[in-house]
Amino acid sequence: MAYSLIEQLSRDLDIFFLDNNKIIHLASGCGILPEGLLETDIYNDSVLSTIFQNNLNLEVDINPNLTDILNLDNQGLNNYLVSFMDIAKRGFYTYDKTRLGNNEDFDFHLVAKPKSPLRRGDIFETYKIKQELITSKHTIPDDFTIFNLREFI
Amino acid sequence: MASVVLERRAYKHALRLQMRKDYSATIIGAGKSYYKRIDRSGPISPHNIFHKLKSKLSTIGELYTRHNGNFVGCCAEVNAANQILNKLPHLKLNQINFSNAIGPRTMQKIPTCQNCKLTFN
Repeated sequence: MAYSLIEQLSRDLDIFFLDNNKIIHLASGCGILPEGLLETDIYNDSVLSTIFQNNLNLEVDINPNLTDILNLDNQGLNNYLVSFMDIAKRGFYTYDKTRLGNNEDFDFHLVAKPKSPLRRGDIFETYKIKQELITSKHTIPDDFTIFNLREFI
Repeated sequence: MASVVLERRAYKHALRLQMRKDYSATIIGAGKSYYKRIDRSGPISPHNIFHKLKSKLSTIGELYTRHNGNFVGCCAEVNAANQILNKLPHLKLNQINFSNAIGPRTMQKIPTCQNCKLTFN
């Protein structure tokens, strides 16, 4: 089916995909998705519901640059992190759209990642995720800086 | 200008959605004096939209077509304002007060889009 443009622009979607060494969650922030991720609508909802049935609680590294990137105070940062921590502690690298309100901007940043990432096979096994997730040929940056997602999908 | 009460209601509503892990839509509070409603982004039903609001939106473009980067009739502002107009039909569009729009995933404020500025200012 693929996400329609209306869906992309009116919803903050949970998108899951792989690169060559990690399993990635991305919050779309009501922005336009790169073409390579449009077909993830086939499985995103089922992956999301599956991962919340598991209580994995890994230690997490949080992006140390978030207050600068997002201009948040302490309370704002705590509120911001809730959903991303929930995903990262379950073994996912979780990314967010950097600038909300500009839906044609493809800048993203890594919010949080597990300190000791699980092997891809272990995640598939833990969450019963089939290996048919869309895979990027490029490595998505995990150095906590802002990057243009479209260059990596 | 939004009242403190309206801002608080919208914020609490967004927090409840965050707790339920229901992150997908932007929410906003709209109101006039005692009457306040919270609603979310998404295409408004063409059958339920108040005439005055539909007319104003049509000066920007047809419903569900893209103008100024966003789809006409799909913002949380439109859905919330429509609820207010159904209760207070004599209200002018620029008399409706809005809270900040909030994304429940991160609780960040979402900037008002150009279409909503044209419609409600």
